[in-house]
Amino acid sequence: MWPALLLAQTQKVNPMEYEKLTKTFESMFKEIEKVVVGQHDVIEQIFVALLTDSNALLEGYPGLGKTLMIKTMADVMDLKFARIQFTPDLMPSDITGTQIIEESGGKRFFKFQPGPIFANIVLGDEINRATPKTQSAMLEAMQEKQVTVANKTYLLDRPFFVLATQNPIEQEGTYPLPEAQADRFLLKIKVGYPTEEEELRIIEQYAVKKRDSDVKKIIGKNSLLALQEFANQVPIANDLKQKVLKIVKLTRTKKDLIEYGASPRASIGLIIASKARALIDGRNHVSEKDIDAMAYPVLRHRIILNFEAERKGMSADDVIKEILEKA
Amino acid sequence: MNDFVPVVREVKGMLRKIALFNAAIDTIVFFLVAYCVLAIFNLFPVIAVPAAILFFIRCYAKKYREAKLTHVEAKYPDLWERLRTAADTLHLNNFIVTRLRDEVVSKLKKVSVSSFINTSELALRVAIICVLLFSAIFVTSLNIRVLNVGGAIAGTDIGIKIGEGWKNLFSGSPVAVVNATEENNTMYNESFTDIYGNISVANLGKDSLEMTLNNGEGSLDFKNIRDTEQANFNEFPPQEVSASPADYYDDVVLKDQQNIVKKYFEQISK
Repeated sequence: MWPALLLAQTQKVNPMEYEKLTKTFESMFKEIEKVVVGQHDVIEQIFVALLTDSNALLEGYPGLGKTLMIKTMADVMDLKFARIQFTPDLMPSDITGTQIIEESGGKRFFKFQPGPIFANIVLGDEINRATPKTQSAMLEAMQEKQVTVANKTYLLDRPFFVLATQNPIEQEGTYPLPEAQADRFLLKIKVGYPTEEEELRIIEQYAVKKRDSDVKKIIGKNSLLALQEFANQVPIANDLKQKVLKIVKLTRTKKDLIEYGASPRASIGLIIASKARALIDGRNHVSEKDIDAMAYPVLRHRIILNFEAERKGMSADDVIKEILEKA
Repeated sequence: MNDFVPVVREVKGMLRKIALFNAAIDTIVFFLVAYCVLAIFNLFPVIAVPAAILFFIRCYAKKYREAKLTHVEAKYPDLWERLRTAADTLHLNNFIVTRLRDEVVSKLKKVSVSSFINTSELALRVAIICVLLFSAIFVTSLNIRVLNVGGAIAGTDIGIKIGEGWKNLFSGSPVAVVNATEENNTMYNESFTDIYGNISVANLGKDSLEMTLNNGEGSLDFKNIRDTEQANFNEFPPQEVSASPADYYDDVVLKDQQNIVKKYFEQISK
């Protein structure tokens, strides 16, 4: 759909195509918002994770349209979508796929049956309900972009993107993601309740009128890969890099509220996320507001608050806000 | 990229020139204030020169550090974050960076140097300079002294040493220390020729000067100077006039010659 965008990798980009690119996200937002009411920031952050070739952890209460949102985004980008509902009895082979016996011409042989992980966008619903063994199978696939079954390695389709959801309530019988595992997700996106006006529109759209879920495809896989390349090329000023370092360093030195600070992976993540956000915003440079906006989803699952912060009733976002004011 | 490097260099050069100009203006104000204050307190006004040089160095260094590209960006919001990003990523060469550079160059064409000079502030500074300049001329020409701090310091040994040190520094002559407390102070250095006069005279203040001027010995006793008296001559000559030869006459004039002179006076008296 956007063959010329692929030329970006060879430095021979047609300016006209670039102009179209800057309008791509507007069109995609417009198309997604036909189905999903509100949640603009959440959609933007999911796009950021997509453009940085990373994964995101989605946290929100049930019934906020998370699955619908991801499914719609996959449709708009013409990507293969798969959803895995994590349960305590889910096995790693249920995700990666398994060898099945097949009979053909009187002969029996094993054939690999790919699991739902073989998609472009994988939605792992309630990832904390699966056992750590199953979780790690999923996380390994996220990291390596490949799965190994019966000593044979299978490469996953590109682009590959995992969106895992966590339910902040009903923690009984769950296996919360260890910090090291959570660190593999670039962003932790919080899905909040819609506003009253948005909720009224949701009612109008889904309870009164007939649901119209046909969305147009705006870009394809190749275009998305080209956009990822563009996002990587967005320049950032040195003083903004310094600001990122200062923010991450503050998470380590703010001992009055934070037990454990963010790792260098957070610094890298904050810079690449800011670059992607700049591209989505149609800018060819990173701005300070990109860093401020992306600091919350990048850092909130990477810092562990201490007892003092909990005693004060502060959330990770409150602490990040304090850090941003200081940085 | 090659086109963009001179652009960044030019912008930075312009910012440095503006920093230099502002530092120079601030230094002039500083110098004039310092000069007036030193003159009013009768301190060494020449101190204002090295102080102004030090002030200029410090002021320029500070303004040089502050002369960053963000200064241009602050004046031109269209360039906000773009200019420094483009300047910081000169080593990169990709499509997006090239687009950014083109955008920055086109926006830089609208940048004018005059926008970095605050005319009202500059006018205020020039007015201050004029006022200070006239004040300096007024203070020095009328020799206005609010407080004679210099005189008080000069009375002390330290003050004298400082004063002598300064004078000799500029005159190039070796340092000569004069003790003003000595009564027979005659070792005045020839370099004491500035408009403030000799420092020992200044120390004298309102005290009366007692001095004897002896004609033969080259000294003068001012205490013995009186008005000339009118000579009182009598109209009548004295009854008897006698003369006696001086000792000098007997010793030097020969006997024969003395007899001739004696005979001459005897003959004319007959």
